[in-house]
Amino acid sequence: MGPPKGGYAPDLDKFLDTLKSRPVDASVDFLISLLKRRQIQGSESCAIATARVLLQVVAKDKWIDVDQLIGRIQLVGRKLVAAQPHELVIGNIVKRVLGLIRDEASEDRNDIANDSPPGGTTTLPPSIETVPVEKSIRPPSLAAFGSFARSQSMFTLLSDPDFIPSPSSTSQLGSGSSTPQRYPQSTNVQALKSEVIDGIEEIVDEIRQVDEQIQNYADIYIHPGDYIMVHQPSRTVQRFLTRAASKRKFTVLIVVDPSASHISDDPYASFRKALTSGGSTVVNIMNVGLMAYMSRVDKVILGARAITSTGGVVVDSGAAAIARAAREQGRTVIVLGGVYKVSPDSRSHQEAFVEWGSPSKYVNFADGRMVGQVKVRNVVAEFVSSELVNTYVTNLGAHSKDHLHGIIADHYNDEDVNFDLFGKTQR
Amino acid sequence: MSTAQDGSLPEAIPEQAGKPDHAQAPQTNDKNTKTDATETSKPAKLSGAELKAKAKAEKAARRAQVKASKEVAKGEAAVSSAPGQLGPSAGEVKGSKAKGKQDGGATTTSGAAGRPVVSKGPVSVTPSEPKLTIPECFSHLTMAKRIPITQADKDVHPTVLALGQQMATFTIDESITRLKATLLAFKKVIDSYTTPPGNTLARHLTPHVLNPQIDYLTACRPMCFSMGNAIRWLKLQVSKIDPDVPESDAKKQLCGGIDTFIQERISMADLVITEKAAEKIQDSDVILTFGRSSIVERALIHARLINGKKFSVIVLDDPYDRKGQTLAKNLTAEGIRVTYCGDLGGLGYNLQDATSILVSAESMFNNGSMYAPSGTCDIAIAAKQLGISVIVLCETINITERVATDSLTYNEIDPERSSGESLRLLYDTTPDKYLSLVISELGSVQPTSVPDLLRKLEESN
Amino acid sequence: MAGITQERELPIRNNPDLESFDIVTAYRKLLADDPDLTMPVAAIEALIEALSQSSAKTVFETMDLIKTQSARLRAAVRNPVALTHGTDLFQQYLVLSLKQPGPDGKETSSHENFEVVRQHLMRNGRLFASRAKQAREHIAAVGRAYVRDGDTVLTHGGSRVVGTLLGRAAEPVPGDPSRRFQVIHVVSEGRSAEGDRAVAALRDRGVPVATVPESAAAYVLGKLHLVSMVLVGAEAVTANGGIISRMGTYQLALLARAHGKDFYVAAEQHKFGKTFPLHQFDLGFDQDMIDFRAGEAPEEGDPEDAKNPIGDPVDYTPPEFITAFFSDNGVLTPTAVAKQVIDLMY
Repeated sequence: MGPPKGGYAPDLDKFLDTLKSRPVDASVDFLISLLKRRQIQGSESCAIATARVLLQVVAKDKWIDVDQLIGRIQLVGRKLVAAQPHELVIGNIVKRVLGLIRDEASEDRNDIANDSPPGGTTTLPPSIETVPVEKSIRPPSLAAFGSFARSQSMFTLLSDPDFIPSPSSTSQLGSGSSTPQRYPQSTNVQALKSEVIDGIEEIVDEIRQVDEQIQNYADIYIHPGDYIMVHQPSRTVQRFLTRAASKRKFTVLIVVDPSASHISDDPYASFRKALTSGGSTVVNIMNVGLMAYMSRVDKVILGARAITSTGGVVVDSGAAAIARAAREQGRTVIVLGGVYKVSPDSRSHQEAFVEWGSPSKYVNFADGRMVGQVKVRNVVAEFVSSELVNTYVTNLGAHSKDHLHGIIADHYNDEDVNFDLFGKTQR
Repeated sequence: MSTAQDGSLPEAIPEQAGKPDHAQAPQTNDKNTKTDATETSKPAKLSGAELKAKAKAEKAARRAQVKASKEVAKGEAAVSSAPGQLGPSAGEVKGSKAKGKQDGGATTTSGAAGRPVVSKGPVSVTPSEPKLTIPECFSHLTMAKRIPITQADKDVHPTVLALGQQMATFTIDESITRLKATLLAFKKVIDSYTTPPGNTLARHLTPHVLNPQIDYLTACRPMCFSMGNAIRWLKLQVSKIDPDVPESDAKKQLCGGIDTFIQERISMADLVITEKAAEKIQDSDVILTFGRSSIVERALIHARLINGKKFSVIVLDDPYDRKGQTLAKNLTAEGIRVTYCGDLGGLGYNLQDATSILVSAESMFNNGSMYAPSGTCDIAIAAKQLGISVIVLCETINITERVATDSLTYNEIDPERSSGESLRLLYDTTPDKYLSLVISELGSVQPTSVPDLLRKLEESN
Repeated sequence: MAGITQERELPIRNNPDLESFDIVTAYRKLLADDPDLTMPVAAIEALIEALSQSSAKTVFETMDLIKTQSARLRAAVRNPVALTHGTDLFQQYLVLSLKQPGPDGKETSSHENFEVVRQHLMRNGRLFASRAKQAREHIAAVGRAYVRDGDTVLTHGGSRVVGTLLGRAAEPVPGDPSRRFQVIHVVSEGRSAEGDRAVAALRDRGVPVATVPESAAAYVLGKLHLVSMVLVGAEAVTANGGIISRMGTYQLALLARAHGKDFYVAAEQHKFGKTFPLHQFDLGFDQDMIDFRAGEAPEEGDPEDAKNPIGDPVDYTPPEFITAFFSDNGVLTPTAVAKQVIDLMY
């Protein structure tokens, strides 16, 4: 159920410890099995594990050029995504590492700009078949215009195919149908390797610092006397509120997981202590319908498992009802989550984000009539559509839903955004 | 039922209303003075020679009273310590005040039962609950309380004692079930009643016998609206007993009245509603419901067995309650396909297949909003978003003249799961805009027409 | 519309080189010859023809030619929005080519670069038309995932992009089997021909299609769980991410919103432009749709008063009613469309 509420899962630490001593393939397989069995779960743990294992791939695998490395990362990435397709952050990290490699490689290429154009064609497995789009569609190199880059495709129509060094090279439209070899083989593999490793380390640091950074925005959004409702608060949310509580007094209504429904063992005891010591009030709410409280609530703060490019949020099961109630009552809904959770993944339908769990959560397996004849459903994660969310706070600050694609543009390479890590594995 | 919403009508017959208006107005005012004087004075005035005139003027009186008491009632609802908040309306509350002289603590029963700080009477010092400090913002809400039988008032009838325990433990939970059990218990109380010498039944029964029972029940668990409605009706019947009628006849008359009341307002009503609701279910429908309501269950089974419809049901449940599992099993036993989801997770997804929502109301407010188990409103909101109809089953006895603007106007705290650190509300209030249809025994209406049903009832009485 | 009106005020000069060439005729011929051609692309093609016919060489001459010819085109049609988006795009492309480094990142003078671009445009005239058609295929690839097995798609009109998208969705692609879905086609009384073609094309592909009159749209949308999405095409996409599309689109968007249905627009990027209508009657031209009458039919031969309603009327659907665009640059929210327009056209 849900991401671990505090600290890293011990399984993650164990896994990370074994990385150095194992061969890369063994590490990948080990992580796949941990993900499948949910021994590593929760977006932060999954993200860190993914980044670490990809670092091993970069560091230990024998690759002779950029394309080979990219192909390798894509392959490992697919396997990891397949192991736990509901954790969007796995795909996010894979794509960020891919982008990182591309960026480092193209910097490299610019350094040796006068090199002859590459000859060979790609050796990568085609990921998905797309309707044939003319390969030569590529705008003139307006790259120098920075923020224009993303919009250049409007000029696709008029662009000059002759402008491109190798006419058959690429599709800027990023369908992922092919990954052209744009990177000269003479790239300094060693230098690139260390650059990429540094880059991945930076991603890991970024993930680990997310809570620290997000909580800096707490006093902006939490005001004295507020009634704040949170749903099974993640560590990110807890630290956010704890920071605010060190400066001001407010009331927190914690919607708890009903399956841990004994008053005696409060899963949020230390969180409660941290808040009440500053004079704030904390109440555990033992309801699943939360509209009853909404006339009292000023703000709802939800921790994201993942945020989609259109602003939809994958949340722990039950949070969607809160968001809906808040919207009906005109209350503010704030979503917290690190930038690494903002996913370029654009699945077309919300149901794709619904994650099912064991039906035994509320139904006793010994109850033959329930188990035998009734179809029992239990949802673990669900989707909150962007209309229900007012603002998103990441480690980079607050964002509106309309401009999340800016974050994606800044953190992912176009060629990877639409690369379908997911689709293939579903077949 | 007695205070009608049509008090707002401009033509509230002044000349007829005159006399009883006087009788009523002081009552409502005195209510706040916490004296029992008004209670004794009321029967005195009403049982005089003008009894017949009073009966004629009854309706007008009620209308007039609404005018007089509307503000008071509103104020009462707003004040956090208002007694009998969930229970009877103005006139009824006064009854418990009268009781106050006997145990001193009864005034705080329903309103403050959960707050030892405020309560002074024996009720509140019961050791059965540990220190309960309900957070300030919810402290105005009521809560059931287990009262050891030994601490109950000596006048409480054994049947009522037992009933009180059942209510406090939620063994008897649904509004309509509680109502029926209460009326049957009161029949026994009346049956075993003997008017002391020098008193008349009409003047003695209510303050000295019925009120202690009511207070006790209210202390065990705040009264539901239907109980308040029925008790007000019962007191009116008592007050109408001609002093010249022999006691045995009077008792027979009252018990017969209660039987008819149960028959008409509960049994027949349930039958009619069950049939009407079942008619709404068509082949290949997917009906979604929440928790377990006995009338919803009957309607679904009726549709399957009597009407022969083939449909499936999605049962969403409150994980703290899990009564929906019983419903799921009972329905599958009748050959209905059931999908069960233990909480409101994936609500939007579960609703995607549903063709309509069928729920029953604990009560309907005068503004068309519905009082129902907590979570119902969340489902109704999601359903509305998808254009799925929400059908409410509600006996007219559950309709109250009160108005709830949100779920915290009237509510009840779950005593089992609430402490200084946690809280669970039992109900929520669904605004009328999320509801499509209210099926009552008088007919199917839109939620905003609920008060019109009340008025119709009152006029036919 | 500020931009357009402003440019309109420029004097329309005849370029002496172009006496034999009439851009309006060329534009009309392009559209007539190729029914698959959209108005913005036809406008671009026409400008390229003009460019080829002229002796304009310098940046100034070329830009002047483009401006005057664009203005001529605009003046010649009643609803110039779509073609204006085409001519604006063309113009902007030339302008930006002045500001950028040359091919292969080599430093070149802006004039040299401009000449390269100019030559490229003139050389590749017909390429653009075929690219525009390929854009449709790309949109079909993008939007296909949004049509699922068992869905019912409500659409109207004869949009070529929508037709391609639905047609492709009905075909299997490797790794993604074909899906069974059905289509409700809302047919407008006056303009049924193009709708009929679209309906017939889909039925030929084995997609079940129901046709309903426009007046039944709300009724159909009201059926619980039936319509899964509304999908329309657009003539032009406005700077704020709204659309200008055949009359009746706005109505469908309102109904979709009222019934909580997703409303998708399939449109190529070359339809994006700077038009920014504030309301239905702020499109920059008059459609003469509202004609009050009383009593007997008006006298013939009273041309002063007679209204002349436009033949193919359009309306404006504001961005708040649009869930997303299926474009040849992927799935875009209206805000993302606006960002593209701001980035490139402003």
